[in-house]
Amino acid sequence: MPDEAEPRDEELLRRMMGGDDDAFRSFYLRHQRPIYRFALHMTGRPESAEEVVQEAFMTLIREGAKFDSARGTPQGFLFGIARNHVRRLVESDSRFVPLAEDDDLHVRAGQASLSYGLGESLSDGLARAEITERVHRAVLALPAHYREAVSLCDLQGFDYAAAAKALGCPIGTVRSRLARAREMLVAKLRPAAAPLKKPSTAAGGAR
Amino acid sequence: MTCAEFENIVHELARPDALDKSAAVRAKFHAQTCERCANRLAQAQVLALAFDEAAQDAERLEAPAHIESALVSAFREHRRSLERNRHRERRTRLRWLEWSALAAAAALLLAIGAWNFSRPRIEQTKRNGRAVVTNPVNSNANGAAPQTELVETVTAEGLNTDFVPVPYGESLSPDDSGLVVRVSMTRSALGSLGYPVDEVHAGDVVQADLLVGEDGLPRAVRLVQ
Repeated sequence: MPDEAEPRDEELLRRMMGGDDDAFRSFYLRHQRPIYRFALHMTGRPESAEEVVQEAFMTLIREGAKFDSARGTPQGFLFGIARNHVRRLVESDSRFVPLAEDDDLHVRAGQASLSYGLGESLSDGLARAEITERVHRAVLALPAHYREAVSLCDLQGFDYAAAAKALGCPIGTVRSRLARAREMLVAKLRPAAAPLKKPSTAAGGAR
Repeated sequence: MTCAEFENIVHELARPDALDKSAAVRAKFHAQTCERCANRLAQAQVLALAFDEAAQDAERLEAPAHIESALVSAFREHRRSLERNRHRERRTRLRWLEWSALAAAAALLLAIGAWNFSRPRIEQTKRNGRAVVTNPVNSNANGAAPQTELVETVTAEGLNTDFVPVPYGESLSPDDSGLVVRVSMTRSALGSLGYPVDEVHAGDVVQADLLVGEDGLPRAVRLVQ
């Protein structure tokens, strides 16, 4: 989220519509990551995620004048465009229909690779990578509307209100979709989701 | 807290600061007394941890740099295209204005010409060697029948005097074009038409123009000098 010294999204969008290159670049840099990650979580393919980013911003260039601040935020407007492109991609490619448990589709997480912090053992790093891949695979297997909520809230840290604006639905809908999605993920991940650090039930904290 | 209430908040409970303190305390107390809910909490915490790992991994994910370059180029091209369209529209509007102004000027000229053409005027045409005069139709201020106007014209035959209306005749009607007939007559005959004649030259033969109506009756006479 931009800090107070940076121009607001509405201001950047207004300047973009006036032909300001720098405003467009600033808006792009601010929003391309969430859009890219959302598209990657939804499609599982970096090439598709790149295509969604490009198409979403091209649509914004052509139709940005249609944005109405009374109906939502510029980010929500952009996410709406991205969702439409994702939906078209998913419909045109049956590979992204929810998968069976034993499918051997390899999910690549873009630039992700085996990564582990200083002091961690290789086995911890491998376990972390395995967990990441299993999470991505499990998320990809969710129905699209659950996948959207998990991508924004659980994988990108959107709060309920921001996710609701991005998805164009009430906050209650986001909460209920998240609850249902998390139940499904617990069931999918239960056998192999051995935590790197077992949580302490006394403290009750996961981090 | 009931198990159903606990289940509603278990995933928030698995994340730090997602719940207010009092709700968190009550939920944790419930988990300590309910094995099923304690297992649910453990599962939610495992899931939250897995999400954290995946989210950290995704921190470095972004669209490649070439997409930014391509989009900025597309933005500039779109802006140029809009400027060209605006320029084209401006030229089309100006052209319409020019044509409209020309059309308005032409219409004005036509209107002036038509008005000028419709104005009444005296014209003289020759028919069979006789001078035919079309008199203008004018009514006096009281709206009385139009009177024959006396005109002085220069013809090929010579200078004429003004027409003198015959004393007993009606004036020409507006629809009556009238006819000027040149005749030879004695001065005394002129006198019967109301033209002043002196007795000395009463027998002289003179040429006169008679303004004759469509009924054949003279309305006015003038002497041809």
